[in-house]
Amino acid sequence: MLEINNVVKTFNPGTPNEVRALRGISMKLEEGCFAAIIGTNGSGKSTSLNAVAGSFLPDSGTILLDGQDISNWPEYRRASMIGRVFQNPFAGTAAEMSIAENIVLSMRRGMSRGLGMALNRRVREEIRERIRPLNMGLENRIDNAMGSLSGGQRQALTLLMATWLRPKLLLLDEHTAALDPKSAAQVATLTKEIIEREKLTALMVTHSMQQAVQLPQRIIMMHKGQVVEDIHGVRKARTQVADLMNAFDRVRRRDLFDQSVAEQVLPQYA
Amino acid sequence: MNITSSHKNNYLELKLEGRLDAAWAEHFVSTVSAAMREGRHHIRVDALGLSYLSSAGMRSLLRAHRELTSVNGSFAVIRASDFVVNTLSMSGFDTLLALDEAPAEAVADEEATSAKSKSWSVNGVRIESYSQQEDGHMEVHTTGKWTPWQPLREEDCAKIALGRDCIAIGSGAPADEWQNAREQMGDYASAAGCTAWLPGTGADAPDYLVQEGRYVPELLAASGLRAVGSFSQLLRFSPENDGASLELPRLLEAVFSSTGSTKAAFVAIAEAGGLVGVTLSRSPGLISEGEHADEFPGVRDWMSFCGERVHHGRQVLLVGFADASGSGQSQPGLPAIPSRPGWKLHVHAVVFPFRPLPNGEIFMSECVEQLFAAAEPIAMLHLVEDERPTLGLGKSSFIRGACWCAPASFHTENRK
Ligand SMILES: Nc1ncnc2c1ncn2[C@@H]1O[C@H](COP(=O)(O)OP(=O)(O)OP(=O)(O)O)[C@@H](O)[C@H]1O
Ligand SMILES: [Mg+2]
Repeated sequence: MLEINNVVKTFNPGTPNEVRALRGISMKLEEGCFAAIIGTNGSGKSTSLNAVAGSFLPDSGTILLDGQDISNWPEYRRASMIGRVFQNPFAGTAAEMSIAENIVLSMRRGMSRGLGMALNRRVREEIRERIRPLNMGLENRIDNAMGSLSGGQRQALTLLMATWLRPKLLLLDEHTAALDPKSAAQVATLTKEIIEREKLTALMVTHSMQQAVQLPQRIIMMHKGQVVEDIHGVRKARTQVADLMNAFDRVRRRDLFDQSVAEQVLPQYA
Repeated sequence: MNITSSHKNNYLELKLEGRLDAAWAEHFVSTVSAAMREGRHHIRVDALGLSYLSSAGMRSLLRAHRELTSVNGSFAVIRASDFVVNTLSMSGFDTLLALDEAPAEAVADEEATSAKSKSWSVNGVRIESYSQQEDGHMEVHTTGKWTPWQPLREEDCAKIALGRDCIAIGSGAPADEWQNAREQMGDYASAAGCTAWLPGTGADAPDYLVQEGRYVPELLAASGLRAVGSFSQLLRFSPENDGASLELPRLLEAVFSSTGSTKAAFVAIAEAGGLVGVTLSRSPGLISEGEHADEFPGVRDWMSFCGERVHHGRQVLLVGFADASGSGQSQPGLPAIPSRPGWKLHVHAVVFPFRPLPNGEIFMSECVEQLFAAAEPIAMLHLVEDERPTLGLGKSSFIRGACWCAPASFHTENRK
């Protein structure tokens, strides 16, 4: 469903602020595959999602979504195929508008012009239907302002809106990181439920090893703009939090293994 | 609940005040564990101030009792009020109660120790040596003919048995067939019929093979050392001051002086202050003809470096061979170390969760077997010294433990 081929992105090239954020990343997600991206700060996780979403055009490499080469598509054109949820619960929804209005707005975004959707009784009923399974009691508050909700509630609704029209691809960038532990766990469970029920293809950036182990079918680890681990299949099935910590440790140790270390230790391994 | 500990002559007294219940049981157990880690193996609980004892509390007393007796220590509840006596005896745990305060056997222990051993101090660490077998001696042979980092050929490998009668370290794999073995060659260490082996497949934790019944573990060794014989000496060491520890070369100096030999074989079980080492992360069986596996940066695919001092506080099994005779002759499997000119050393460390050893004179086979029986190995390292200026991680160090050692004779099979 998603194919990223050797994508390279350097920010501020040729300046003192040059950052080689993506150094040739490739991955292929089958339809219905739910993958987590983990990695150290600045390893290029968000940049990878941004590259797919079209926030910028990569320096080289191609991105295919649902069989189409979207490498040169502008962001708005990709938006109809991609649902996104960010870390900040206040991003992506309008605080002063009601729950129902926010939902209608998000539904319109994916639709072709002119096919506007009015907030009639049938639509209001559908909204209630789909909010009820959140078990947050929000189905009785759809006329309340979004700003009156807790971070967890907002994030749950944002997730619902992002998947309302069953996007080809769902991108989640640390979407539970700003929530308290209980709400984070709730939104994490909801994420897995929605992705599995709707059989969505999804990429989720997370710093929670617990989530990486429990939610997706596949774990991709990034480091310094590269994919350094791709854990799937039976290996994913036996992967635990400790294994991921070890994987982080391995990359860190490799970074610390420099020429001077080699000169010290090689003569002692004989 | 409040716990006040006071050091008596030959035991530690823990005064408990308040409720020993589910909420406090774990706190009590970890207080006991911390004391055991410091070598306090005789503990008395002053129960006079206990106002409540639940089943969870009783279970924690039993756990302390079990753990202390497993290291030949002792545990008892003293000054128990009527309700504590009643609660314990009605549940059938009156064995935990003691009338007299001092543990008699502790005194006996200490006396036996002073009669049989010699002791001295090094850098704030007290070392005691016990003579275990007058003529104890180790015959060391090289196993396998692989020279790092040449491509490994089948004919370089030697099949070796790792039974209770030998100790061994090196690189190899437990497979009958060369085809299987060549992809998995990794570091191993063996003592008392227990072999830990870290597959050279990038694995984090070692696998292990333990001699059982008629099963004797076998390995296809690419290179390494294997010794048979018996240990002449036991060294016990523990810090006199907080924070003191023994660096590996210091421990070896004690080995050389107590065995009266500049060549030695040893096995140690010790709490790590910090380890510095490397491991094979990719099997040398996969080095192709003409490949320079030992060149930076490619070497990082083949070898992993610890990056920082690791495994502080864990229990480590060391198996090693050392030659400080200063002979210029190179000995396969015994590389030189940077900190001591003329010294050659090869040590593998197998890391386990911490588990206290009994005090006093103890025996290698028993202790190693118990280590493998109680928990799985966490890691394996080929110890190195990192003497780089400022950045260097230094030497591996050990806080307290036991080291069995013997004079060694090294025999080298001819290699190509
Ligand atoms: N628009 C930009 N302009 C300049 N540099 C950028 C830009 N976006 C990202 N970077 C840089 O690219 C590198 C990768 O950033 P990215 O946000 O992808 O990391 P990340 O893996 O998501 O990290 P974190 O875990 O901190 O979110 C960083 O060094 C970052 O500073
Ligand atoms: Mg990010």
